Formats: sequence, C-alpha cells, structure tokens
Amino acid sequence: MPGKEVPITELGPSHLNQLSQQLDQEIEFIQNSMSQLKVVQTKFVESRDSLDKIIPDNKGKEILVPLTSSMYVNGQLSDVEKVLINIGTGYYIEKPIPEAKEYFKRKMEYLTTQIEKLQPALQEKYKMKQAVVEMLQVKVQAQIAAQQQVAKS
Amino acid sequence: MQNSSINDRRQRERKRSNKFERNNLNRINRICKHNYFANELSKYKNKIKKRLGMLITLIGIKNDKSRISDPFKIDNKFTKDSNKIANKFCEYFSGMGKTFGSKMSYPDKSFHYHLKYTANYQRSMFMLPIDPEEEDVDEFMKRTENNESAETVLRRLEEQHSKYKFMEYNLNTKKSRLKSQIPDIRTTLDIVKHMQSKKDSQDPMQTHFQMSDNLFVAATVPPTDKVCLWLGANVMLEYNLDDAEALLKKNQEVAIKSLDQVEEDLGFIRDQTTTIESIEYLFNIERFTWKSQLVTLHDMARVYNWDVKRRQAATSSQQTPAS
Repeated sequence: MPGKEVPITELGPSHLNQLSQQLDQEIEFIQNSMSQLKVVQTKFVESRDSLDKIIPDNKGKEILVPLTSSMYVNGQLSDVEKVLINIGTGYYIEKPIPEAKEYFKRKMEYLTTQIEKLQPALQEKYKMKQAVVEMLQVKVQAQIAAQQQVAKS
Repeated sequence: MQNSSINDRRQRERKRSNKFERNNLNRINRICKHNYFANELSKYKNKIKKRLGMLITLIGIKNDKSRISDPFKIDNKFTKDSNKIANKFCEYFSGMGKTFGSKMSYPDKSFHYHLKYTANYQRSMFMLPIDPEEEDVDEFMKRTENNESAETVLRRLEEQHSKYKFMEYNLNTKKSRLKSQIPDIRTTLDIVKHMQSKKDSQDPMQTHFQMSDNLFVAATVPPTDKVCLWLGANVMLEYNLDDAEALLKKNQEVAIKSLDQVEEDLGFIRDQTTTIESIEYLFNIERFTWKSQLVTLHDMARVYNWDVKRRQAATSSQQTPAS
C-alpha cells in the first residue's frame, strides 16, 4: 500500500477497524467539499446566464425591481453596459458586460480544475478503504477459524 | 244494405276525421320506431355499450347529472340557476382566507396559560405537566392511574419527556425563523419610508438590484406610490405606500409577539424537562434503597430536601434501636 509504513496485513482487527473509520471520515470530508464547490459553480453559471438577458435591446424596459427579499417596485432597466460583481469580502467591482462574462467563465474553470484535483484523491482513499475492509474481513474470519480450532481441541 | 251504406258513410267520416288521422299517424310512428330500434339493436348484437345506449334512448331515461336537484338560497332567493350558484361558491372559497383570518382572534396567551386553565388538561394524557402544587406523595401514588406502581409512573414520565423534547425542537425552529424574519421586515419598512419621502420629488431613484448571487444590475425607479409585496405562497400583491407601511407594521408586531410567546413556551418546556430529568435521575438512584414511592417534584431543591429528611429519618430509626 503506498504511503503506509506498516503493511496492513500486519495490523490487528481493531487497528483495521480504526483505520477504516478514519478513511470513512476523510472520504466524507472530500465529498462534502466537492459538493460545496459544485454548488458555487452552479451559482456562477446562473450569474453568467442571467447576464445574457442584459442586452442593449432591453434598455429602458419595464422591470419589477426587488428592493428587498419581499418587496418589489416598478422600474426600468437603466444600464446595459456595466454590472456590479461581488468578488467576496465586501468588495464589488463594476465591469462592462463582456468582461463580466469573462470573469464568470474564468471562475467556473478554476472551480472545475479544483474539483478535478479532488477526484483522484477521493478515488485513492476509496481504494484504500476497500483494501482495509477486505483485510479486516480476512482477519476476522481467521480469528473465528482459530477459535473454532481451539474449541475443537 | 242500408246499414252497410251507413257504416260505409261512417267509415268514410271516420277516415277523414282528425282523430282517425292522428291515430293512423301514431300507429305508423310506432311501427317505424319499432322497426328502427329492432334494426339497431340487431346491429349491435355484439356491442353491449351501443346496445345499452339504444335501450336508454328507447326507454327515454335522461341521465342528466348536471341538473341541480334542490334549489340553493342565494341572497334570500331560491334559485337553480347554475351560473349564479357557481359564482356564489367561487366568491365564498376565494374569500375564505380573508374572512377566517379576520374572525380568528390572535391568541395573546401562550399555550402554557391555556394548559393550566383549560378544563380538560387534568385528564389529558398528552400534556399532563407536573403540577407544582402537588405536595402529597402518598396521595399521588394512590391515584388510580398511578396504580401504586413506580414503573408505570416512570414510563409515563419518559413518554412526556420525549414529547417535551419534540415540542422543544419545534419551538426552536419557529424561533429561528421568526428571528430571521424580523430584521427583514424592518429593512422593508425603512425602504417604504424612504420611498414615501421620494414620492413627492420628481426625479427617479437610481439603484442596484441583485440579479443573482454575485451579480448586481443598475436600474432606475421613477417616483411612484405603488409597491408590490411578496406575501408568500406564490402570492404577490400591489399596495399603495401607506397600505404597504400599515401591513408591514402589522406583520412586524405579529412577528415580535410570536417570538415572545415562543420564548415563554420554551421556558416552560425547559422547566418541565428539567423536572422530569431530575425525577428520573433520582429515582434511578433511590430505586434499590427505597420501595416504590415516587416523588412529585417542583424543583431540585424540594427533591433534595425530601431526600435529606428521609435519610435523617432512616438514620434516626437505625440509631434508636441501637441506643
């Protein structure tokens, strides 16, 4: 097994149990992070798609402007050239629409690469866990067999 | 001969008379119908449905499901007009929420109050809170439902305990929801006030609104006195600024009131759970040393005092035979 100092064949069942639990936790953690990244990615996709609606044709069109989460007012779309992007930690940047689209595209690609980096790690952990569980089963069976032997003799 | 001629004349008269013609016509009609239906029925020998349809037309049954049997009373007038009846039903159902809402008085007492003073709580198994006024242990045990057995009481207490836990969970969710609602309503009210001030000036308001999670777009809002409020359940209504302000203020009051009530109820539930938990704990300790007597508790202090007294009594009774 790569990265292990002691081959798992030498570990006792309790150790193996512990190890499998630990690997379980790590797998869960990686899966959680991956799903979170995916969520953020869909948000960026949404923002980029909604940008497509702000085209010069729609300038001055009537819209219902949300002022709060439960209040809307009649208004007109005023600026179809620039939009505000929230880049985190309370910073907003004004960009023209093509550049904003570029920004979202870049962010999405960054996220995709990160997710892809996580994939092999997840798979490796999964394989390790499988091997550990197998070894554990073998050990347990060996123990049972040994006990039966002792009982017989 | 003359008879026959008279008969002939009569016959001729009869022939020409209307009745005769009518009878003749009816006879022909009947024969035609008979032939037609016999023909049709023989055609549909294997098609039962069509045969049945034919029979129905033959017999003349009208399966008029749309006919309204009893007249409805609308505006003090009896009517069978389906349009009017339908309209009245529509009116009733669409106005239902509003009429019920206005008739419902807002409960300004928490459920704890109702629990204590409603007639049925004494006998209600669901919510039988530990009555703080009960002092006498023996009498409590003697009550038939307790059946002088500590086991049943303990089981019942555990049931109550889980019910209280469940209620606590519900109340906590309610509390967090309300807590998030109240600042929302406050910001909405502020904006409405701001719009009211702007209404009289003529220049439009520039704003950036949130189009998506990290995207904001500029828009102009001309001065208007109409706002649309999202009431929830896919319902959005347009209001004047004053009406909107009144509605939001009322919602805010209601939310704050509910929050207070929920806090009160949570406090009550916490008291009860502590009481029950302390009973169970002490009972499990005392179980082996004290035969089936269960203590009705008001709070931990009383339990402890009782326990102390009992120990003193036990030690003194041990000492007296010795001394």
